Amino acid sequence: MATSRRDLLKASLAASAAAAAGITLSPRARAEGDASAADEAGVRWDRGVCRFCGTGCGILVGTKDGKVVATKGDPKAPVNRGLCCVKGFFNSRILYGRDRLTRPLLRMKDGKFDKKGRFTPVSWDKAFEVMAEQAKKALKEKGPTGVAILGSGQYTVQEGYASAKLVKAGFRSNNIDPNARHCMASAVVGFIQTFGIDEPAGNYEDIEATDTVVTWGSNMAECHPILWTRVLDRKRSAPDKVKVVNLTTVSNRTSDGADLEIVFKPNTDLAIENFLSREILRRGVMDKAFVEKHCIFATGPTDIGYGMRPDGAHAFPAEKDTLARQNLVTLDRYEAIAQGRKEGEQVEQKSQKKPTAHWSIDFEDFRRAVEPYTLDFTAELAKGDPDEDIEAFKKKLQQLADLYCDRSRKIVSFWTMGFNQHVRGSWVNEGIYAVHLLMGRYAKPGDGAFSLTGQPSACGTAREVGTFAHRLPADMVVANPKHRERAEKIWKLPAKTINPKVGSHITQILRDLEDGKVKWLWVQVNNPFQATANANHWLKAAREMDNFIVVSDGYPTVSAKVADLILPAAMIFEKWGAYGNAERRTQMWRQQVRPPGEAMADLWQTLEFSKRFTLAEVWGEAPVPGLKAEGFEDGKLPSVLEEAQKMGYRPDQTLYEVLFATPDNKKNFPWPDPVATFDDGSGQAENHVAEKLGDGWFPEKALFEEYASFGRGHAHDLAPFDLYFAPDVRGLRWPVVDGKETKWRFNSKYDPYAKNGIQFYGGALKAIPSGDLKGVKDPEKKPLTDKAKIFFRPYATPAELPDEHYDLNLATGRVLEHWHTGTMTRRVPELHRAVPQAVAFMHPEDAKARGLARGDVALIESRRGKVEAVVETQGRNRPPKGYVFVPFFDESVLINKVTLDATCPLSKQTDFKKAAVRVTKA
Amino acid sequence: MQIASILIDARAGRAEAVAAAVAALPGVEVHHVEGDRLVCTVESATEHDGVDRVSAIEGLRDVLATHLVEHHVLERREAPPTDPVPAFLRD
Repeated sequence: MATSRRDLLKASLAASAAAAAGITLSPRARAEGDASAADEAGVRWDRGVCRFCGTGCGILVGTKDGKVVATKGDPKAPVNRGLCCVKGFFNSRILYGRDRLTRPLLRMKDGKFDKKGRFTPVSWDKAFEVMAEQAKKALKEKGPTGVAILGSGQYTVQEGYASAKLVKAGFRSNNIDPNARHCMASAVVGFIQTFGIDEPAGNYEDIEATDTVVTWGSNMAECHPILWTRVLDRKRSAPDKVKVVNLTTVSNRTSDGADLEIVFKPNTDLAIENFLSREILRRGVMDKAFVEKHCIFATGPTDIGYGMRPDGAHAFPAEKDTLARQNLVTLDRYEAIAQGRKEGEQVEQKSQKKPTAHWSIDFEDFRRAVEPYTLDFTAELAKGDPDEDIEAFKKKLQQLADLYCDRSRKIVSFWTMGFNQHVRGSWVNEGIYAVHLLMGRYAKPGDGAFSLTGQPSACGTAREVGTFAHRLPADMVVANPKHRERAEKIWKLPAKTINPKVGSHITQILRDLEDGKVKWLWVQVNNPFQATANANHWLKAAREMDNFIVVSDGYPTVSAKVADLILPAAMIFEKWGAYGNAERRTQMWRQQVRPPGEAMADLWQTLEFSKRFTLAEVWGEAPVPGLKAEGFEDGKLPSVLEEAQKMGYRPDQTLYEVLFATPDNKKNFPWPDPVATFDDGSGQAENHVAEKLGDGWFPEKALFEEYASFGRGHAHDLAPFDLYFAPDVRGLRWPVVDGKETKWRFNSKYDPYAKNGIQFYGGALKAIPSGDLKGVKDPEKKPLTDKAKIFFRPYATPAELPDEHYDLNLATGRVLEHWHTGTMTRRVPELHRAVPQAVAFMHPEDAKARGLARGDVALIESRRGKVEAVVETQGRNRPPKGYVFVPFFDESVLINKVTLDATCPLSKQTDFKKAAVRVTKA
Repeated sequence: MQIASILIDARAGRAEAVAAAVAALPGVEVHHVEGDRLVCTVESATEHDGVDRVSAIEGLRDVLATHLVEHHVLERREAPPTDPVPAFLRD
């Protein structure tokens, strides 16, 4: 390539970057940019969405000769305004990695499937034949609970919807749960219990509207860099007024941009929240009118365990002491003071089975409950850096309280995994709402508490579609007979098709695999055998138990390696899709290029697989151990075949015909469709899913519209499919009513569902019993229509603390350049196995005390497993003494062999931030 | 061969110093400086090299943040997959 052309392209790129940054160019620079822009002729640009985190950046995808050759931040995208983070490099790269999977691979020996065989390329037909045969065997042996799908917060909306429908309406199982369980389940419980409806009231514009940003356990600078830029821009616009605070357990890059850094001990964020609530009351700054009009006070049981397995039957011997805490907890000094009990008291964990129970209390109870959280107590408990002076730490807590209590400023709290991956993750989410609600600071521009998400469609698919073991679309749940009835009506199913018993959550599905209860597992858009805590158990279960595991992916992952069948998946711009980001924004894109080899979209895989099942095979009577629900015989789902015939179905019809390619879908949503015209008008997008199915319908549009019918009129309204492709639309934030998005929910100025100012209209859990701090006094459920709950939740000690054998706390997380398990962002595995990329960040003196220096290989060992990693003492994560941080992207440092599978008992989300380890020289 | 444009936020008053440090990195060219912001292009052989280069910039003194704006692949060195069973999956 001629240097001049390269230089022209550089000038063009620099000009567009300058434009994105609002930099004025000299006429000459502008002319150079224009000249080379013409040189890009032949590149077709069309809208897209970044494949990675939950921010939801809009990008433009440049395609030439059937390949994606360029990407850029979409200047029209309100989220990122033309910018991307460094992961933007990977949006085109992920399609073209050398180890991309292109054929179905089945473990075979002597020409047939064998669990001990080697991966061998097979046809799609053969793959589905074996897969269906194995699923039918599992269904016959165990009933609907014998099969499971592990889904994803990276599913497109339509993929998640199809998989949930196949599992819930087809197989009558509720064993579908996404990796999003590891990501934001605690945020969901916080939302539902506090507001009666999922997802934030506010949006990213709160950043520009506020003058105080507080990050809690969220390294926004590395994990949500585009939003962090908006924070820095806001700070720059009014440096004296705007304050940024980083509450963290590790000094990190977010601290570098903050006015105030508070390093606290893991789990003590609960105590800091209660300290803030206490300060609000003590200083007399509570917004009394707001609280009286819009809130009630509530609490719940504290003896709820840690979401670990209650028996130790499968435990490694070293695990048993930690597991014992599941049933009996001896209170330490802090937990005793925090809960108003005695140190050393042994508390049987009696409420493990009903951890979400809660009841109203009066204001005086709340005031009494937060009383122990004085500055002295909180500082002594929460100070996270042993080298920091206690008085200096107290001063910081006071400064934090000054900001939250200042009636003249606006304030937004942000959090991610520090809150959510927490043995009391649901409580700590509720705790921050308590602080904001006491001050009347929620659902107003610049005043909000905002849960950031880690995956591109954790909100749009996992939560809104409801690809969880307990959910149905639009915040409905399988345990509620009215919700089942509504879903059965929309899905045109016979009554009692949907199983009322909640299925297994993601970690439980893996435990069920180990226990031989789940015999058939399909992993979609997810890498659970690397991403789930205490992985040695699940890796062993996958290879040594009698089961069948299918993994669909674009690349060979750890999960693919332990599978029996691997299905090659089409990725992002090789298919049509929709994602929903953290601010309720739904965004769509068209297929830009064809998938490589025989790779096919996950949606096609689900639809094609559904052709292998007739109603007679799945809708007969079926055992469901433990099922107990009104209208159902104990432990059993009734046959619905007779009822189905009355509705006009035939027993030999396939699930594909009944659930997906229905007469309505085929009639109303034909393919091709004019919406396929690219934004620049240069032609029509292909749709390999519709084309391969070949029966004339547009599955992505039909399934989106069918799914949207659940939420329209129920405060979850999505726009018509085509509107998302309108020239000036770059996603819309639901509820979208009359084509208009909603920026702030619960606020009648912005939200058509709210009336007369603030109205917390969410309908879930809005009638509760009443009592005091000790328990329920009056079991009669009283309604609290249109109100939010201010919860008191005490500090709780982590499930496992460092001790003399395992003397450091281990936390895991992400880094800027890699995403999650690294499937799409790491180099090809064989290259980096020789030198692990993930490092162990630790304090230099902790390293020195163990005979380690920067660059040495260390052995990190817990009660559950061990890995080796290279020590880093000068990196951008700077832990205090006693703490080691290891990212989880690198499968050669499979840190989840070491982590603990304790979960928040309410949300079942794993606490990846607290496990006791020892570190020695390898 | 790949070219990307990036935007750098420098600490207040440090843009010129950052520009000098950035320009010394191989494959990096500074095109515009205005206020605390710099516009650069990065030339690299692969995406990973580009990421490494941006990480190096992020690690420089007085750099607050970097952003990717646009990324073009002029020529992809990596060969397309040939063996349907990647090495990682062979036991």
